[in-house]
Amino acid sequence: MIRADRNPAKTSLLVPTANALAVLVVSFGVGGFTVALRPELLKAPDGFQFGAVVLAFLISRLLAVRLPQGDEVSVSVLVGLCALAVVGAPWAVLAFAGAGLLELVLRSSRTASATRLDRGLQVLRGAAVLSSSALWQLLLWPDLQHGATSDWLTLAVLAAGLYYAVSDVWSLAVFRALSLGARATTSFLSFGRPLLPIYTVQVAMSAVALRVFPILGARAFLIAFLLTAILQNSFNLYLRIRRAYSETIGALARAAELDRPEDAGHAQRVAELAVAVGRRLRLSSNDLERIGFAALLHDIGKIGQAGNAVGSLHAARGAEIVADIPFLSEVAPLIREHHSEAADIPVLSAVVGVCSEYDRLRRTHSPIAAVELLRAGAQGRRRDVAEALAHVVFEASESGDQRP
Amino acid sequence: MKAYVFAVILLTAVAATVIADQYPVYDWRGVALLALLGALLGNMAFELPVAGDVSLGFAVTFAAIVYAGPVAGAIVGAAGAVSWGQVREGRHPLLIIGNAAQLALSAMAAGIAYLSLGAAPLQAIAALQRNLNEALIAPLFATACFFVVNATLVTIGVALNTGKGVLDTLRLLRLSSYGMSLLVLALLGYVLASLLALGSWLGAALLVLPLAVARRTFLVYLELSQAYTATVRSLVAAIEAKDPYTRGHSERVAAYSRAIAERSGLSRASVDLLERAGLLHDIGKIGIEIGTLTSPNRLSADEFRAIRTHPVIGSDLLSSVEFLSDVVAIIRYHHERIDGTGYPDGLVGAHIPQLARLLAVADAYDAMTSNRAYRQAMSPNEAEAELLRVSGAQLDGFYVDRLLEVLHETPEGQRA
Repeated sequence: MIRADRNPAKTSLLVPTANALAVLVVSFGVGGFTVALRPELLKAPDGFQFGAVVLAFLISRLLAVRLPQGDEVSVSVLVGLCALAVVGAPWAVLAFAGAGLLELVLRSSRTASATRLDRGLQVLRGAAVLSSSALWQLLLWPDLQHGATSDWLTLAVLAAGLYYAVSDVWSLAVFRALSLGARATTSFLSFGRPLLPIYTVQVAMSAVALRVFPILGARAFLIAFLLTAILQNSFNLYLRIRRAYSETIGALARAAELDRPEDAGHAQRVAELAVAVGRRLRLSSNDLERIGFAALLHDIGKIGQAGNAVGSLHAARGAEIVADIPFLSEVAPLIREHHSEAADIPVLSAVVGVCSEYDRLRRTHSPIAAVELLRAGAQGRRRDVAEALAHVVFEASESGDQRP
Repeated sequence: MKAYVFAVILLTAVAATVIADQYPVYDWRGVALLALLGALLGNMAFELPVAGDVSLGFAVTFAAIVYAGPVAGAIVGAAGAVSWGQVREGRHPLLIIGNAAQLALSAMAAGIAYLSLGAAPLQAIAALQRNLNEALIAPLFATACFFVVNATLVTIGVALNTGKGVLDTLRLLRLSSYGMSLLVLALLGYVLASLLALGSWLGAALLVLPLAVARRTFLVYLELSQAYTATVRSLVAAIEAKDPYTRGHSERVAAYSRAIAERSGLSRASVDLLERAGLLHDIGKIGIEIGTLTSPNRLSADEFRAIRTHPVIGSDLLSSVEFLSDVVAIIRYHHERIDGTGYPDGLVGAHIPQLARLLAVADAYDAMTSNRAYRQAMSPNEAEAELLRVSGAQLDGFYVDRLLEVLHETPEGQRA
């Protein structure tokens, strides 16, 4: 799996921890402030209603989305917004926490303690976000308790939803920085982009549910929840096949290496390195994806040529093979040009070529020597790429990372 | 067939005139809008996993039924069938009108069902600003009626058109997934009707948003699904090209497996699974010396051992791909034999996964009918005789029979 947001140079955990703590303190503070201003929020809701909210949160958490980079994220915007409106902030937060703990208990038998800690942190984080969204209660309570009775109130719900979504993703990024050492801003984008459709659907459906609540009652929430669950399930399947696609190409690339034992693992290493270098060069995520595939498949043209002096024929052959695949058509030129020494070679091809060469040099040289050799022999674009590679390599070795 | 379509149209016209007085429409503007929306969405159908085939037009039709009764439902349903897309596709006008008629008829039935349970059209409820008290039983009942009438009319029509029997047509239409999707869409329509009743344009727009997202996601999913198999196919072909004797082998095994699976009535998921397994079953052969693979002579004990590792190598290679976890089992066991003399684990009979046994039949047949370094290809008849000879001992008899059925069906009786 190639993670685009993993920072090879692990920064110290002090800053991320401080950030996370700040998020928690501020969020719960806002929640407390809201309750202080509106003590009527503390009035206990109907027991049945509360139970239903807890159940809804639980199901929402169980419908977690598995992102391409491997994280499991559960999005509870729909339930959260409706709960805020119907039972009020303090009880919504309590319900959320309760559901989170229930989930931990239900899943505890087969999870490692580290994962349990991580999950616990996620519950805390989610509760914090919900708590901070209580801000909207100041503006809209008790109006929303009977649903959104006009389109203006619906707009307000949308605004609250937007706030909830953004703060949810932001807090996700901040907390991820704790465990991965990734930069929060990069994580924000890497979480935000794939999750955008889900947040959009949930926010829209919450607004709709609250809008028809006056006329449909609790059924509105039931229907909204059901429809969202179905859509989310489809989305999950889509993500699953995306992941399957990358993993399968990786496996087939590994298969192609089987008759060249000296190349075992080469494709995967080059792919990881190339994506890291591409990030360093601030390439777009589309480009990074292309580079990843190109790197995995750059030597596919060598298949069946074991032992022969291949030169750069394999580049053309590999490009031919890949050009036949519609989905990978933009990857073919990268493979064709990866051995090119020309100064004006496109940067994407250069990244693949330079990283591949680096991996080969590493068979006989140390990282520093390999980098020096690369720098010395490169011109123009390849030189720029070699510089970026140097940075990536040295950052990694400084932080004690074993590879590359 | 033409007579049938005319009959349906006539029936619809009669029914419409009969009930028009009984169920008046109050809010023509709302209905007109729904009709427009229906016409725009047309029969835009796509398949959501779990929810099945989704035809968005039904959601709008159902909204009309719930909002303003059977007549409105009929109008909107018909509008959906006469969409621009259908006209552009060049469908015969009679078929379009016939389709519109059957949808209208189904909508009328549903509308009457809805009201018969004592529910009132939402256009009336809204005026009262009252919270509804009855359960969701009325919309569910209405959906069921729509489904029954619609399914009946369509099944008869398709059966007449294709000449197949009613039962065959039923299986072809995959009505269970269609029914599921109708339920989901009915809920959607119900919410849409409520939004209309409340006069909320913003709400209606917000409702369309998730649908647009779902449709977009689905289209990309579909593209990716197709791309997936195409990609695997291309890469495997490239990998196989090194050995002239096995070139195209995986492709053919995949095709045979698919045919046997369909013949055996396996689910679509299993059929797709087998196709993937067929394409990937021999990738483990890469690591084996080309000399061993293309040797015209008897293999030494070492060479034999090397060849027998390929199912394990292949399954190990793919074990990291979660999506292919079922394929991995098939690949690992595709050289097992019913009598337990196979490899790698020497499994016996039913212990061998069912789909692996199926693939083994396809694999064996293609091996027999292809040229190899050590022998010429057998003729189809010789191959069939050989299959029957080893049926029950080496290969699973059930699948051997299915393969023979398939082979005798195709014109040449040879490669599928």
